[in-house]
Amino acid sequence: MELNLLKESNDYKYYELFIGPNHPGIEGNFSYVLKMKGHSVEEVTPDPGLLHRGFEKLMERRLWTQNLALIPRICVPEPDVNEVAYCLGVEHMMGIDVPKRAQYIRVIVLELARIASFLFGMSGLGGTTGHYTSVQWLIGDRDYILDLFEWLTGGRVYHIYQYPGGVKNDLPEGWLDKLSDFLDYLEKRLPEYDKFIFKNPIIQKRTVGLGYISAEDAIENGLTGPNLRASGVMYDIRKAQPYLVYSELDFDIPKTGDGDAFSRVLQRRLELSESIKILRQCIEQIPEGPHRTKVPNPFQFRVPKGSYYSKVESSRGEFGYYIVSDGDVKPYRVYVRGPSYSIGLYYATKALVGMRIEDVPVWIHTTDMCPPDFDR
Amino acid sequence: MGSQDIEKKNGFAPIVGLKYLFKKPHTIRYPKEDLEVFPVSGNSPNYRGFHTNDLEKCIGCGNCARICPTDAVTMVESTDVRPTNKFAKTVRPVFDYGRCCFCAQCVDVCPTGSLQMSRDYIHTFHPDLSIPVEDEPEIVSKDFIWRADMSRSKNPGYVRNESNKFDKVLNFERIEPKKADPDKRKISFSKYVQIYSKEEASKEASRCLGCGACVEACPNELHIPEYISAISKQDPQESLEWIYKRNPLPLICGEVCTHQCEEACVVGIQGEPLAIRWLKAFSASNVDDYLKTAKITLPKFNGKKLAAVGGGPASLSFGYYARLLGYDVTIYEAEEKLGGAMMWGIPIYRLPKEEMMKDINAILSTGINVHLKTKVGKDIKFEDLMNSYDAVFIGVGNSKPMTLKIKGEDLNGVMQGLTFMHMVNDGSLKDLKGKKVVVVGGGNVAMDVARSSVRLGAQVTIVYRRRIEDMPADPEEIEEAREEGVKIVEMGVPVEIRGKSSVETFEYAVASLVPDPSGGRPKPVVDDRSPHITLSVDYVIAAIGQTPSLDFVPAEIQQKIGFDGRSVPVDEYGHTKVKGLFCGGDASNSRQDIISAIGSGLRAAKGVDLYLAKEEKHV
Repeated sequence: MELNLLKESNDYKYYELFIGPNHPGIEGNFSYVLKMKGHSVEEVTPDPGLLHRGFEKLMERRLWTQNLALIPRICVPEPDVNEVAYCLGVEHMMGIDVPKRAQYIRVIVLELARIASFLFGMSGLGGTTGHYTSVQWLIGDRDYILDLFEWLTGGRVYHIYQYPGGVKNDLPEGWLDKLSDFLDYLEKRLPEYDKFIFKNPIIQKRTVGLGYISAEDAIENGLTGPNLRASGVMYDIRKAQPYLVYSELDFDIPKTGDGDAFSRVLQRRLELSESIKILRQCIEQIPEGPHRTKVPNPFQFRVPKGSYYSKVESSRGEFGYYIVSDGDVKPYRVYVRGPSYSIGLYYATKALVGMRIEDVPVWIHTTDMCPPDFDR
Repeated sequence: MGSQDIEKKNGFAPIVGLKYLFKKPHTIRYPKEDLEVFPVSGNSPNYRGFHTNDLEKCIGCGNCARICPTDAVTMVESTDVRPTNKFAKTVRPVFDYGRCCFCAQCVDVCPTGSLQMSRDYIHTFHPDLSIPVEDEPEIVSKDFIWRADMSRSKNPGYVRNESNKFDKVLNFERIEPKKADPDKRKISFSKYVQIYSKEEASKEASRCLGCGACVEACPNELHIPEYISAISKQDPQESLEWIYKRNPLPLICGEVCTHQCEEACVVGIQGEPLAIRWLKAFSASNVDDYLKTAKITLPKFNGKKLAAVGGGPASLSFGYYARLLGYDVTIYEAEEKLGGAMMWGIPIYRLPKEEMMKDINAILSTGINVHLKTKVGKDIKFEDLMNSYDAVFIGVGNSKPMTLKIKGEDLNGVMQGLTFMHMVNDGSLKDLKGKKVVVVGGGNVAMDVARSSVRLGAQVTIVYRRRIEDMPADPEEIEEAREEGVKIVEMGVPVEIRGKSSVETFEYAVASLVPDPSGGRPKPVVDDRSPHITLSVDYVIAAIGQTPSLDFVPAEIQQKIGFDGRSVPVDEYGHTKVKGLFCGGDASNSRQDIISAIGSGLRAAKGVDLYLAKEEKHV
């Protein structure tokens, strides 16, 4: 194969390597241009924009509630955080009180989406390390969650289920029982996952000690979510600034510790167990009552003048919506803070330097980045 | 579990894997197999698949097309559909599945519930490879774009039906304005419906979908979605600016309009229509200076002079809009006050006189000349008007009442509805305590007469020749009259009024109804077997309609314009067959209400402008 050769010395070839959407080791429609020295990376240039659909601009030209069909697409593996963060912001600006039941349903949806996203992320690691059993098993189990979502919302991936003032439908009859059954099933599966992912010598060899991120570095570069917590900073919005009903729920933030690629994956696996714990509490505690409050219809839906930053802890970190309204039927400006932005676009330029080429996809997948975040 | 925790090599490990050989596979081989988690096997019970549209229910309002975030819905004129009600359109939504994102927002905003989503989602597309690329758009449009009813599914998914209609994004419940109790309101002539507060108005206005079905129903085509949207923004000033573009009597219409718009309101199909009339009253009563708020700049007089006969809503509207075009308008009114039927025909508990004067004074302040107590034909000759003005507008309304044509109509105590209302309004009739009153008729005038009599202390019976649901009066008027203790006799046909010098008894026959084969209102028929009932009464008031009186117009001109005793034929601008003579209001409108009169005045003002411009060209 002819390399895009830059220069040649006695010991090394210096060349440019494009690792893009056609490469199975990268997440989504995104690419890095790597300047290589032999097998190791010298310089990294992220090359986003392949997925740019101008979400933020499009939102300014649509009605407030029309945007609810658009924003789930900003994060494909976990669309619900977008809907909830947007709705929380709009509700805060309009002064709408959301019924307790709707808040519980939102927590259930968010946690289920978190589990689905963790399963998806961990299966990605299997893809990059050649461990295809985990891809097939985890994606297969994730599909049971999509079934539940389909039943609840009418859609498998893009649920378009949240609405300012609550959620669109109440929980269908028997849905919570099925959810409970699924959690039992998933818990039975977890020891198997541990066995073939975390106790697996190959995965351990490929991930332990790789891509170490110190706590200072993580804070400095704006990392959030499991990536930050894996470095030992116990910051979780659900605990730090509880939204919805998280203050009523009992859960822990697991501590894994040393900030390498293995602990980042392990962090997700342990948080998955916490999500199951949260879901079980929700099933028990969810109150009866209305699932939404009345709001003006879409054509007369006006948000009072002002601005607000609402944030939600997604499976990747802090998902934020900065919403500005001038009192009209359309938003004046919506800015989306995606959790992958800081790690995928900025921190990657530092973190990947000096890394061997075969470790790059592993690093990308253990940070669980989601490129649609960059291109909104 | 940690990074040191490595599974030891185990010789049995491959055998452990064997158990998965006998497990059920994850994969569902659709369409041979269905998902079984759902209560109904297949896909989710409220799956958002392809659209279905019930053509019998769809009214073509286009809200689905307006809400669609991806512009996948277009409204297409359909020749094979019948309009479902008299305001419905014949356009129907057509979906482009190359664009649709299946968000179901169109289903959420469908006011009739006709649009649904099915559980069908397989879209197969087999282009014929032998067809050249140039012809491909046709294939694409055949396969990707279809009218939702072309593939009616028996497999409904995401739907908004009657049972959960209060569950979704539309608000079907009206915010009722505060009203006085029937017992309290029937003893006084003060207004009993309170105008909305700012919060109530904004909340009510926020139910509007803005589709504009009301605009087409309104005889004057007001900018209804625009002004309601402004109220929803809590901006009565902007709202009035929109109203004033086509209606210079906003407060009057806000109180007593016949609100055709509310009948057409699409929210009213499944729920209660928007209170468009009360919203207009809200914005008009919250603005002090109409002309300043509506940003009206008056042009200089252009030297042409117009005359308007009659001082009612048609003439006022004509005068105002002609003045905006620069004409010098003079109104001739026979009575001592302006307002016509609004002044003398409508009781003050519905329309307080000071509210009415607010509207009229705003119009007069633009510089319109008024000659009160000047009866055309008596104080000034009609021919003189025709000669000394560039154009003349007749807005005299209906002043000649229809009579019952039964025996005893000349007795004392038998009155016409309008005469009675005039006496109530000018204060010459103050008390009817203990008297028994029979009102004949079922229109709004009959209701006004009956409810005014109740307020004067009388016992009132309304005799109408058809059923209550056939009455032309507003349903809420009928309802409120009954609440106030008015008795309504259905299918009563007056037979005779008896008495020596004044009325003593009133006899009516109970008719049987014969359905009209052509679909109109049923016809009351009295035959030999019909029972006759006699009531002892003090007053009989006939409110069975009235016709225009053009006595002041010379017979020769009456003949020329083709006046048949009921209405004056005019063109779309109110121009009669005589050059320079325009007509509007009840004398020429088929709907005899204030908003139609305002509309005819507005059109006549435009017509005059066109006519005079044309005349000038000829000279």
